[in-house]
Amino acid sequence: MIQAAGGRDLPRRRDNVQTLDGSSDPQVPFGPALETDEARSAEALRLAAVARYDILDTPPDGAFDRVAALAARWMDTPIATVTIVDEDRIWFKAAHGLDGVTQVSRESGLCSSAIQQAEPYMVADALTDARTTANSLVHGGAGVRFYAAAPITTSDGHRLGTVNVLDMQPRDVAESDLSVLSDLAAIVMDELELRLSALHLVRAERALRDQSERAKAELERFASTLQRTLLPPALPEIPGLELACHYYPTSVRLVGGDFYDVFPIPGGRWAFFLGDVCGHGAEAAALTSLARYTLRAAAWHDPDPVSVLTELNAALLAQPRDGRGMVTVMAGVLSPEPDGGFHITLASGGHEPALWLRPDRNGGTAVTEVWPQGGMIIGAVHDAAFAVREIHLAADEALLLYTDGLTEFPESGSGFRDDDLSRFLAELGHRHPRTLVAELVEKLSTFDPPPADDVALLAFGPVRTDAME
Amino acid sequence: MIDDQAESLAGLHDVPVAVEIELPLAGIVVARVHGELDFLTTPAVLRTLREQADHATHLVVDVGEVEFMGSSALAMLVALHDADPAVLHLAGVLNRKVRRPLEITGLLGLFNTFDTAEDAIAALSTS
Repeated sequence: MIQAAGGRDLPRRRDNVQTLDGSSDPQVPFGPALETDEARSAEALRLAAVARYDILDTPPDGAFDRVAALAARWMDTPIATVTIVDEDRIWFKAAHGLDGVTQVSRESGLCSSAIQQAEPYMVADALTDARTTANSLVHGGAGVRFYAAAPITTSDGHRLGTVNVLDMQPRDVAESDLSVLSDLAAIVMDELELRLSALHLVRAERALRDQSERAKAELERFASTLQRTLLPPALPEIPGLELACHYYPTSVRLVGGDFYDVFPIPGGRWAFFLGDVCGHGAEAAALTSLARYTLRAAAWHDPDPVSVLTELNAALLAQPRDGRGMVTVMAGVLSPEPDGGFHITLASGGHEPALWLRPDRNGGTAVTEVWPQGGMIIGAVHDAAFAVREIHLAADEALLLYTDGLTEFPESGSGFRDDDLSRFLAELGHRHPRTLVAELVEKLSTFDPPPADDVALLAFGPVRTDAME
Repeated sequence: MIDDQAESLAGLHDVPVAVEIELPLAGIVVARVHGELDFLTTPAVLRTLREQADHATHLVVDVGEVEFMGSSALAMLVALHDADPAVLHLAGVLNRKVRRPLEITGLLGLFNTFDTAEDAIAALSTS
């Protein structure tokens, strides 16, 4: 019977169009119907509709195979096909009674003519019918004598292809049989619509997923960028002083409420602060920003730590009530002394005491809390009082400021509680700020459970001139 | 140390906190808080205490059995104090787990404090 030119494994590419009868087939891109501009633009719209259903070159599908089998059985023909008419080929979605045929050229196929009309198309005897006498399927080895087709028509009127029946004998069929062919073509169209909506769903779902992943990445980028703006990019170089800091965030998204800064103020002195905003997330971030910039500006205006904290207290309480929050801050001023040490004025706004590391008589380290007692948490009450402590930080001594994320761990875990931090510092065997912070960070990473809150660390100590070289 | 934000998380958390309400005398409500007051548990406790404060002349919050007081808990006490300084009283402030954060943050002096709830009741019933 009819043989495909190349068998089953023919590539399904447009440039390798087969013929049904095995003859070589000159490529004729368009039939006579496309000679006018109007016809060309209608064909372009039709091809767009074909492309929309994304059916070309898809693998065989049971639903379409069944339609072809049903058409052959109903019309009692040896061959039935479901075809889609592409730009330069007729592609077979289903082929009953044809082995291994996937496509033929538009010129040699019969359904190029069939899609020109809305009604079923029938050639009772191809040898005598004027429409087909020139067709290669009729006169070539295939010997097609009977052909009937019903167009597969979209709701907006585009004829994508046809449901066809073919026979090697001439015959005549009743109008009612042709309408069955039309019904089968409508079923094919329904199937294509279903397929398309499923395709849309899958695409929409994929797009949503991509979008949500992009949004998530964007959010994390945003949060970490914001986080960076809340921290000083780097600590300044202070002659004769070794400075070290660390920020341990518990989550990228819950932009934390810990902050610190060290910066020069007039008179060859340096102001510093370290604080903790109650809360997390966007509101805490906004409050952190407010606290940081208020403290910086206030320290420039009047570096006295008490007036710095008083100004921050007023700024926080001036916030609208729903955006109000509380902050604990340790603020101070560092002044270099002739002996190589630093004079430190320290004020607490309800913050954890600083830890002062000094050599003890036995060659070890004594750790004492520097606690300007009575300093109130900032942002709670209008008449908050702030207390001051003054210390002389000598060479080989260090001061550590930290936020309570470092010491607030559950009883059951391995984290610091109570005096554990002081004990850890005393047992380090040195008082070098950089090493000390590095060792604390290392220790922090071993805690199980890990810190529940952000941790900020700021340590400094005078360095001997010989040690600086 | 979250306050409002964590409220939605509280449902997922195995809440290790409890509030017992007692009405020893007319107008006096004693709320005994047990467990950990962190950013996850505090919002629910604050809601409970606010409801009680609305119907009481004196609300005695007994923190003697509190095992952890985070900054959100301090914010909670400040909020209750702000609402009406005459209503809120703190009992059980000898509890070290509460006393230290209250001292560090300088808030101990802000509140009307008693060593025990019984002391508070005795003082408030004669006032």
